[in-house]
Amino acid sequence: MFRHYLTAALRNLARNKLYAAINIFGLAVGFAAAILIGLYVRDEFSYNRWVPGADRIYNVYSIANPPGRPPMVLDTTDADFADLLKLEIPQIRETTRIMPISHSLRHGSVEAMQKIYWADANVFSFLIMPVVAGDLQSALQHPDSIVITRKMARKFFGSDNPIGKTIEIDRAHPMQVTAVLEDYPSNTTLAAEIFASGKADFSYLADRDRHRPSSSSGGYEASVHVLLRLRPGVEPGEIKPALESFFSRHRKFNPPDMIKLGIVPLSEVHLYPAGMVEMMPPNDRATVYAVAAIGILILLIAVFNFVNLMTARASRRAVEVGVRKAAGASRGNLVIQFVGEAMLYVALSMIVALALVELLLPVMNAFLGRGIAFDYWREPWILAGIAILMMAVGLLAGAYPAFVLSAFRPGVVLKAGKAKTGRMRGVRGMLVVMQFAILIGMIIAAGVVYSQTRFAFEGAIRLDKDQVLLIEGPCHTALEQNLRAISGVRGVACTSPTSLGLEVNQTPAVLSDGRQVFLFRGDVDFGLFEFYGIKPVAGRLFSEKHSADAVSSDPNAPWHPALIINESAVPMLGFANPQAAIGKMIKVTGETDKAKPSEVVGVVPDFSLKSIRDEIGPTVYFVNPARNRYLNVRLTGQQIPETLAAIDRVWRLSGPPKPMTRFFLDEHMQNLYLDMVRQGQVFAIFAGLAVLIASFGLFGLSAFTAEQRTKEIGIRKAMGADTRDILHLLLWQFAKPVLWANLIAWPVAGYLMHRWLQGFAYRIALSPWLFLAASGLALGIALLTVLLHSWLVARAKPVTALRYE
Amino acid sequence: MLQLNNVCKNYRTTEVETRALADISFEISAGEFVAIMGPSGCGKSTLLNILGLLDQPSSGSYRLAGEEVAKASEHKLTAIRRALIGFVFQSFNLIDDLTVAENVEVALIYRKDKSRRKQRIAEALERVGIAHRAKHRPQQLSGGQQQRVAIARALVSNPKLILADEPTGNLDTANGDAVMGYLTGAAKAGTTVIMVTHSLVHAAAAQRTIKLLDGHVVSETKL
Ligand SMILES: Nc1ncnc2c1ncn2[C@@H]1O[C@H](COP(=O)(O)OP(=O)(O)O)[C@@H](O)[C@H]1O
Ligand SMILES: [Mg+2]
Repeated sequence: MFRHYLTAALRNLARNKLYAAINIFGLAVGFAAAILIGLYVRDEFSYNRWVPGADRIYNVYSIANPPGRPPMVLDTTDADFADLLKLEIPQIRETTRIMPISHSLRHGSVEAMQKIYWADANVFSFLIMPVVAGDLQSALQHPDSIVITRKMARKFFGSDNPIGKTIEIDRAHPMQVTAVLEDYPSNTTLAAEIFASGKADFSYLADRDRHRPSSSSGGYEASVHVLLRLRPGVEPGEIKPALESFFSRHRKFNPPDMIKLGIVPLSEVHLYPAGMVEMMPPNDRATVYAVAAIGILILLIAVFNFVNLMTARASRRAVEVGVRKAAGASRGNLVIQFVGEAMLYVALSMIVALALVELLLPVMNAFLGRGIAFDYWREPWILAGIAILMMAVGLLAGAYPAFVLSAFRPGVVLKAGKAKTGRMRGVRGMLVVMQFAILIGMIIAAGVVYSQTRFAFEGAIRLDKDQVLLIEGPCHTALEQNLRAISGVRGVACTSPTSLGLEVNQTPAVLSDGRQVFLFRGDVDFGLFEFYGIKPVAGRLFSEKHSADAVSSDPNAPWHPALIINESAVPMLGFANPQAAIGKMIKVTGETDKAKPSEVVGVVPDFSLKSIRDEIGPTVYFVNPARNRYLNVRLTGQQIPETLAAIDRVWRLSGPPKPMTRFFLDEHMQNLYLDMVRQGQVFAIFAGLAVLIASFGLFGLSAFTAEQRTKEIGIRKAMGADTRDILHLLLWQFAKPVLWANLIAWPVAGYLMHRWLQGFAYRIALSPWLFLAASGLALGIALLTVLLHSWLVARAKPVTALRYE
Repeated sequence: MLQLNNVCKNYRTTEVETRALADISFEISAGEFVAIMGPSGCGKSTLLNILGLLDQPSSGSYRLAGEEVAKASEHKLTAIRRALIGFVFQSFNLIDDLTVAENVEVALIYRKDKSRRKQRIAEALERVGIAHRAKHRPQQLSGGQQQRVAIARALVSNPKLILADEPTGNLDTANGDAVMGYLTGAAKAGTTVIMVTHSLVHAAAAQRTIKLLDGHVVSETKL
């Protein structure tokens, strides 16, 4: 019996090679996409889980709630909090600290800027990581201890085991390698591959420990990751109240609860928002879910397709069913036959899919910078998942036609020569509509993400970013002048990172009526606005001609520099319009207790290099050369390599004694929006896949339909229809489901993309043209796909069509 | 109405060449009612398909309504079919998805003939006594009823030429006689009717009988 079914199935497959190939390959592409997406999603949820007990190690977050503005999350807190937390909250068993700072490292002739985690000695009792050499428990005992990964060991020492060797920090402080870590897997949030002892005298962590802020202090520096472990049996929720009230007991802020502490397990840090990212850039949980949903949708498209084609094909076999029934086959026999046949197709698809995954996984890993493995033979649950998927698809695709067909009385089927498959056609139509709805939705999503990305790079940026090189470093006059003298350099200006939104600093400010507000603060140097082509909306820009414009370098002098505010600050500070703000007095109190009211001399448009996800916010600018940390250099754009070489030379001659960190503004923006660019690419790739699978399906379906309607076409031609009439008839048949699909796709995609755009402070409007274009594209693809078969049957001589019976 | 001169039709498959029609020549004048007879496989359907412009001869000349159409373009053939010809098939050839009325309408829509369409369909259905089934699907009708619908479809456009390929072949005597009645009526009204049949009785209703054997005309009898 089984052999009989198998030969029947294989012959059927061999007889319909094109159909079988389309069917198997379409489903295989769907399976492969679903598996790849499944692996990606699993990887997203696996972050840090390779660290033993990652779900019981918590990172302390600072959540700032400045009045009247959206909350801001930081995955760091102040250094003195680690001890205090352990002291005051008895449920906390142990804490440790990691402070990320970049330094220059040198061994022999190898020198590079590297991020270092300055850490407490007990850090490795939290982060229990595999080692190449050395003992982690004692590794950071001495103030000159340093622990590096294998990759760093190879980079600086050219060997895997440089234990006991020395590496120099900032060309001044020798440190001894005490242990070498295995390289981290790709699913880590650890951003530094070097741990150094926080006891080192020159480390900023030690410095912070020497100058602990008092509990009446208004200063708060969220610069360290505090990790903590709870006592056995304690749930994180139990210490929530204690954490939330903690801050107000140790710092004097107005309002007192402006900052609250919270904890997130290491295993979830990756999908938790972190405003100013100190660890690896996090992913957005919603994005991961969206990708998972796309995977499911693609799988659905492929399965719909498969079920559709199997059903369509099955209706041609009504006579076979009739004969078999007449010969005594029971309904059960027939169901088994059809389901078995579908299973055969599914199994072949899965084999092709697994091969595709093997082929594409390295590509995906390279694209995402991951090391995702697909060891399905070692992971029983993946195998089980694949088996369940195959069963489900096979059952769906086989059972439906089997039940419908096997329910016919053989006499009816044999007499008519075919079954009444109207009901199946209805289901098929619905599946095609669903497929195209998904497809159109994906095209819309890809379009919206693409437009928003374009907007982020071009439309939203309100400053002249062309050919700008940013150099991290001090800004002394000699360096500035030497840079300006290079022929490929058009202009140089100095600034702090805050004015460009590269770092965020908030300051309280007191208005003339005594009201206190929180403003973003941008420390600039003369010429910065001019450098970026920013023109005042009212008043003037800073000028060296006005001696009162700059903060005095004398620490005892009164503190009241001239202020420029941005447009967002105008209403926030209670001014009717920019002009009305000019000449008004505001006291910026964050810097010093010597602050006196300052005069607003200008208003500039809102601008920032921050992500368009975040509001630029009301900002106050003043000239404060002490905070300069970036050199902005605009190149002419000609002979860039020569110019860069000249800049490097100037740095060696008149810059500080460390390697230079420089990057183009364009690169910065690329990094800033990397996730969005990736999302756009992911949507585009998967929309493409969906198109491919749906086209396969439609192609198969059109071949089938054209064949099924041959007789009708013959009749119509005999009645005077010409090729054009028939082509219209057939194309309209395929256009209809696409048009129906819009009714589903438009509202759903519109709503979801509207939600997605809400995540941005600055966003594009959803254009109806995009929706129309997506539908037009889908329609075009559908019609092109079915054109071939439709054209072939439409052109056939009517007599050929009529002979088909 | 039409003239055939030395019409041949060969079917070429990969192995064999079949000569379905060999040197057929005859003339049929307007308003004639002609029966074509002959054993199965002698080329009757092939001949009718060529007469109806559903197929083209391999060689020879075919003049229809004064125009040479043996080598005419598909476009031209469609235009002439629209203007002149109605068909009745042995196996009815109704479209399953359309109602009876819609099936009849098919004969009008491609003629871009919009005048009084509804009324003409109703009249045609009335003429063949099937008006009460206008909203049914072909599958819900008996064979005799289905063939009446096919006749209504052939008549509704008032063609100059009706081609009927064994219109009574699948019907019982009573239904067969009814169908013959409609065809005779159409012929009386001045339509040229060419009908393939195996029934001597039905052939007798025609004014003239052409006998085919292996693709040749073997005899012509005229009443
Ligand atoms: N499309 C075709 N291809 C090959 N041979 C055909 C084709 N159509 C008809 N024939 C052959 O031509 C001959 C005449 O067929 P047909 O006109 O259908 O006969 P009739 O209608 O008289 O029974 C037959 O031998 C048939 O096998
Ligand atoms: Mg025949």
